[in-house]
Amino acid sequence: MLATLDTLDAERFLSREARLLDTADYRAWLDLTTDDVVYWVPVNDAGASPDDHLSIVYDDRRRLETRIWRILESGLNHAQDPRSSTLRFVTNVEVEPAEAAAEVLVRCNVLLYEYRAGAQRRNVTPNAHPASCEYRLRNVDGAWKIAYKKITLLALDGLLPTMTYLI
Amino acid sequence: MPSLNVDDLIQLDAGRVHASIYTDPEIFREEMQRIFFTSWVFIGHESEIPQPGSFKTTYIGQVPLILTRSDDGAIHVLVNRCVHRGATVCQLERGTAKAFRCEYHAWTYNVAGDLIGISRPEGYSDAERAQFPPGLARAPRVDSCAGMIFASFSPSGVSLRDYLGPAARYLENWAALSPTGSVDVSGGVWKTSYRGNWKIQVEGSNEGYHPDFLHRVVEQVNKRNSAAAATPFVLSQNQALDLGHGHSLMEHPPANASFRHETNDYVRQLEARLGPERTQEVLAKTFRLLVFPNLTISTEQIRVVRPLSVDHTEVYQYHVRVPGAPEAVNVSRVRKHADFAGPSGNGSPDDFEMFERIQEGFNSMQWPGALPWVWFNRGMSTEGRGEDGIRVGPTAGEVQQRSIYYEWKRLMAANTPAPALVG
Repeated sequence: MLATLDTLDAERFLSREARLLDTADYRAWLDLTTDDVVYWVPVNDAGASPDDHLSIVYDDRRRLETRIWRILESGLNHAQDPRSSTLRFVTNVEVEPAEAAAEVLVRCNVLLYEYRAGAQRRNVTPNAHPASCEYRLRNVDGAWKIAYKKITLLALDGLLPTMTYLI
Repeated sequence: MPSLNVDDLIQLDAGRVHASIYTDPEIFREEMQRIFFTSWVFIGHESEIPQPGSFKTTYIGQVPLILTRSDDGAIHVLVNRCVHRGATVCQLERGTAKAFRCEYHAWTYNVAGDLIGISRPEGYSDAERAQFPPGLARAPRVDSCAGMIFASFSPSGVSLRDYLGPAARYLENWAALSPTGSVDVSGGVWKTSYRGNWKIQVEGSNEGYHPDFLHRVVEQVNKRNSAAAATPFVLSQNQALDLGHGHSLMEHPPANASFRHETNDYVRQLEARLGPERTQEVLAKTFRLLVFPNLTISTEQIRVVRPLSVDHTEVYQYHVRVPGAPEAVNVSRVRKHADFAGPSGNGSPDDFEMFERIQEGFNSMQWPGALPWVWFNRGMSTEGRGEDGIRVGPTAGEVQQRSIYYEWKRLMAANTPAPALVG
């Protein structure tokens, strides 16, 4: 079947995804991904191969599940004690056809804020992480799922603080 | 601290140091002069400046530097400051150049740092021109070991080889992990900074007491993935060695062999170059090596520490490739590196969190009645002596941390003032 997704539907999808991430409903977020999902946050150079060059995150489904377990359930995510709140704004959404018939390419910009509330240390300013995102969404039995997500941070080659939440 | 009394600050007989060494701006200024602008400091790797004209900009403390390779192959560490009015002459983090030109008044330097052109020179008399130094200020001593480039801003002192001592052999073993005999550090770097004194990271870089606790998640992840269980650091028979001059080595527990990247093809490649015995030494004995004051090496990573101020430190963690090895080996290395280190890893972010908590705890020094001591006495009474009389203790003891402060004390107690830059 030929997959079509208009910009408004894509925006709805991305807004829902952002809400699941910002509410740390990571299991529900994982349900939005395909079994062969690739979730990639490059560092230094967005054009470098993740097999040859360090990445911030380069996860398949199994690694994502481990990451989510570590963040939510291990009780050992010390860099997130107390946990950060995040808030992300999604804009500049564009939809293009993809090579695979059941898929579409979606591009957008994201402005991610991260703030650690409730800590003794008084961090007054939220960290801001502007980024551009590239998705391949796949229509699986009538539902759109994330088959590929690449997040290119504006400051990917600059000083980056720790980010042990889902970016 | 009105005056620096290192015997009061560093009490190694009692296994303790005074917390003001992490909080006192005056001590920090002395450290920069007596350690970072006197001793040998890691600057970069030869793979970062592969050909004539290659350069990389970097820093020691706040001093902007250019690491270059000139046409004759010589390596230079230059201060990135025009001798005329002071503007930086090189703006990029890395690249290749035929010359560096200050864009303010178009003064030009070759990549060896010599001043080769002054714009409209007829505006100067000969006497006026004679006042200028011959080129950019430079580190008077630059040397390398196993591809690792070090600089000293002191015109005299121990050679790099003598400074590294037994650490040189481990640097060579580490570089020998590459089938070409030379590793490559251009495969990515996580740049970050933390609000804390630089020594907290240096102490933590080669610390075998914390992993079983702070990094317990690593073991839990292995369990989830049904990987081989690791021997806890605190139970391992592995040793930590004080290699002198503040350098230390921490052997990795054998079970960390589950993290190794060997394939048969890779082992055969290494054996062809090194022979079976040396290959075994290089592959089986994995380690953390701290080269004081600013470098830590592990199998997949070099970590470079840059003090910014008494309570602010920058850290670069470079990925290390082994060129020529089977692709699977390098893929395995890059995954392992990102799993533990990197902003979203399951290890390093927790370390940086601890470093900031430590500095926050040290803010208690504002109240004179607060606890003034930091303890590094773990395993002191059972510390032994190994080959050449070096101090040896268990990995999860604090031999590594004490070794830092023997050297810190030696350098900070030196009577001679730090030498001035040589033009």
